[in-house]
Amino acid sequence: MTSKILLPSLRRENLKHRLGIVLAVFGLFFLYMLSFAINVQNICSLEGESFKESLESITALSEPGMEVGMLVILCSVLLAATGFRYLHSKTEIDFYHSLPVRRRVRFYLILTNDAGVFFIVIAAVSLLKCAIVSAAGYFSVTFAVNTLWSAVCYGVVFLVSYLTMALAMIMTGNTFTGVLGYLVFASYFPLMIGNMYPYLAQSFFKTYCDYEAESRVFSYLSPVSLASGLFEEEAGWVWKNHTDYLAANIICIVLLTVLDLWLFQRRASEKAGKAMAFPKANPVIRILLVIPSAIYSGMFLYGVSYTSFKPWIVTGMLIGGVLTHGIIECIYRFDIRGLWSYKRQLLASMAASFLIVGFFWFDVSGFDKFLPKEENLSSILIDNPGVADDSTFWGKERTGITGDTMKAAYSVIEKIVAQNDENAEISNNRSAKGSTELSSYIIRYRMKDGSEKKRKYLLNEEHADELMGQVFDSEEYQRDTYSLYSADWSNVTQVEVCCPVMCENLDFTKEQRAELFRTYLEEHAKLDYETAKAILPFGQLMVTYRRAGGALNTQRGMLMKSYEAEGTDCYYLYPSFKKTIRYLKEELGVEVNTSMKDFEITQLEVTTYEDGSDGLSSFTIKDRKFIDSVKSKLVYGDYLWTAGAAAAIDSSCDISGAVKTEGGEESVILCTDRETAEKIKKYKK
Amino acid sequence: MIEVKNITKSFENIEAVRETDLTICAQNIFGLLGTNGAGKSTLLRIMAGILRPDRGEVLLDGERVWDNPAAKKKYFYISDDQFFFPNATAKDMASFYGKHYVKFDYARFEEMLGRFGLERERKIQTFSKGMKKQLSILIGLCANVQYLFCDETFDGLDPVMRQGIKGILAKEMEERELTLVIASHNLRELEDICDHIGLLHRGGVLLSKDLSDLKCSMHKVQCVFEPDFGTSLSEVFQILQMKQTGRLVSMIVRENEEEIRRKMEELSPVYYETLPLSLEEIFISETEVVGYDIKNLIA
Repeated sequence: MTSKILLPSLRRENLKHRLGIVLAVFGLFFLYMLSFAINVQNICSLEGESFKESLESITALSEPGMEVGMLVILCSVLLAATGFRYLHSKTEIDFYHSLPVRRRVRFYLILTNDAGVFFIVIAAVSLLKCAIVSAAGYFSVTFAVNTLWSAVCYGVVFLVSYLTMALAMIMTGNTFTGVLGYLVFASYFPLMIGNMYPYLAQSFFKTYCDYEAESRVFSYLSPVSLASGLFEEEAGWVWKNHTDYLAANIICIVLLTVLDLWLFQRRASEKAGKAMAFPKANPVIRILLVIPSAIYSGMFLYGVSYTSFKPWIVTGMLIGGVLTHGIIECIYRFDIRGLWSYKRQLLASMAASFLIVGFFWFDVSGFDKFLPKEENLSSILIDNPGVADDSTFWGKERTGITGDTMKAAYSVIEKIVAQNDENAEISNNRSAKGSTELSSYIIRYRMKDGSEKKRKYLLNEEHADELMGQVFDSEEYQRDTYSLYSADWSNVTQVEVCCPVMCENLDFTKEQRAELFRTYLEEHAKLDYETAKAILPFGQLMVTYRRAGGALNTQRGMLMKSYEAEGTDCYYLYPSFKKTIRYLKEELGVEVNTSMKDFEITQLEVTTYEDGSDGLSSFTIKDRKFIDSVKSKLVYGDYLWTAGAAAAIDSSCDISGAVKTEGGEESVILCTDRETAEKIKKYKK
Repeated sequence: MIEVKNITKSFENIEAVRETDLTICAQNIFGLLGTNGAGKSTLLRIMAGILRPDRGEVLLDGERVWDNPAAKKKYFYISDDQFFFPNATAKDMASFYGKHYVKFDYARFEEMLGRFGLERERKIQTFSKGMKKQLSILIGLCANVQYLFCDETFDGLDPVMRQGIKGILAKEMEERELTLVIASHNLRELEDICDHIGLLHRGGVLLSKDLSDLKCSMHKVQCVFEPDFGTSLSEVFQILQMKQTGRLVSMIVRENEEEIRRKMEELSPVYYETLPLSLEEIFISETEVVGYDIKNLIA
């Protein structure tokens, strides 16, 4: 038994002999305080900033962030490594473990001392931050509250990371392997395991497209990703948004403390100097590392080669698996001769790796052939390439198409699914005929049970046309595809009109903006697929909007808009949109030209893409007669987004024209329909 | 009293200590002898509560030693390579140990430092190996514990210092009932200090006896018989080792002097002589019986 009177003196002794690392921690945070003070001074000295803007910037500095988080993690690793390093030295372990102190008391001493050092540092830092900001005259209650929350978050992150490093040190018998252990704990689940399914699915499944699907569960299984989740915030850190990560961190602290203590008490002293302290765990750790390493090595080699030559996967897996297995054993033994040991375990690991890869390679689950039964579907959502998907949609919820439209679309999708393998093959072989005619559509199947399945298909022109023919005219598709129908127009920050041959920012009132959108959408709703296919848009409305949760980049203490804070959507103007054109001209005073025919074009530069090859060929047309004959079919293409947006626009060649305007001759990008494009290409011949 | 009960300890596939039983009485100097790799240090580290045995237990005055501060407060362990904090002085180390051993005698420590000529404010890392050894013994003595566990304690000490420390240890035993357990393979060092010997070989205890009893129970006998002497000596004596050069027979027997004299009188040799054995000879004879034979090394 260690008396309570003895504990404080033991605590002092422990600190006394680890003074160097304690000073290092203080030093690191001292450097941080210097950078904080400089940041505050920089913000205060910014010219043209109002008091409110400066206050906002300085208050933002009080929020918890990953930059300081990394510093906290570094300190936790240093403190834990030095605190438990004695376990790795035979001389020191004999010394400490022969003393009349219970093991759990020793663990408690180290843990509480290190945590104490950190909390003193973080408390001092918090107070100093408040003092500096007060001196600058920007102190606020929000700053104080945020600083307090920061201290809480950093404390939580420190403990999780510290206990993880302690676990690594307890489980190993050497500090080098201890540090490697921490790196494995920090990266294994979020990086190695979390990315495995998306990586394999992306490589083997032709219809996989869930690139942004987060393996959220894995982010709870690493100290670094737990910290990252706690600090992550796009616009101002609010604790209410992070209760899940706060809870996860606290649970982690409890579990790690129990596990650390349990292992600490059972750790054999004679393991000092060995690589690992719990030999029974060695095969488990090795197998758990060899399997993903083999898979990633195979996929890496496959990815490096542009040829989609699948034997590279097997080669990479063999190399990666054997090497990882051997290297781990060499580390376990500190002996290069461990490279070829435990062959049966190696075979088992490799077999498991091949089974996993084989599952994806041969699509055992039938992922690519998946097509839900029609009766199980509640709706289908179609992401038209280049027009709308979840990342760019800023309207209200996308509901998908239902009813008869869905049934009609489903019958086309059946054909698409059947054709997809062939199209994927054509697309992989980029030089094959027809590869440039394929376009990628994402279909989301929303089931009646509430689940959603997402697949990406490559559609040839015929199927794309058939699918659009079924859905384009429906209101549901329009509302799912064009955000403006359902969006909150107050998020619009700017509207630009582009038409031959100018782009003009609209200066209007809210009412005028609403009227313009209403008029435009009324006419857009009447646009049928046949018209969209045949008629070229002459221009577009470029609508810039504020994204939900758009971020102000305050990480560096500078108040500036992040490029991710806004997005721009494009809405075509067709000659048939008479009311819109009139409104633009008469109410908003925009000189809208609906055709290129009134402009003098002196020459055309044409670049054509030869189908079935990667070759480009360019030529210039200076024949004014010919140019005048096609001029009415040319549209102003600056900023015109052609990728799948308008069925009428040809994408087989790039055209630019020298156009005479009031300001002189300008080079502008032009677009045209397929018929005219063919005529232009023939002119060369 | 220290009771080692059926202790077994393996390091991966190597059985370092095997089903070992030992009893070490209080106020004794117990010499833990053994061949290289016999498990002396391992057994001492188990007794000091550093290593946890796979099986069995160590009791110190009836209390389990493993992770038990109450028992651990009664002994001090001096390792063969004692740890000192980097940059620490003798005074710092005394202060550290004083926090753990409440009876630590600072005054005596100061006095003994002076006697041994060790500077209290000098960094220990600048000490020689022998000086570090002296310091660790001084700390152990000043901790005022009942039991002192020493691993190869006299290694690195000069002959004068060895004798000096032996003297101090003997005095300590007299004055405050100290029990000393010393693990060593230096038999000459232990012979003149130990009361009791435990001989370890390949993880097991070959014998555990009072040194005086051990010496009385084993003798070297040199004898010459008539050329027609036909009795087999191995049927008469418990012979551990026997050599014959011409008619001169030299043997080590496990018999006391009285017994040897009685048997020899019955056999009527031309000449016989009984000689006491040194601890080293006892060690060699006992280990030779279990196959640890010098001839195997030379051959």
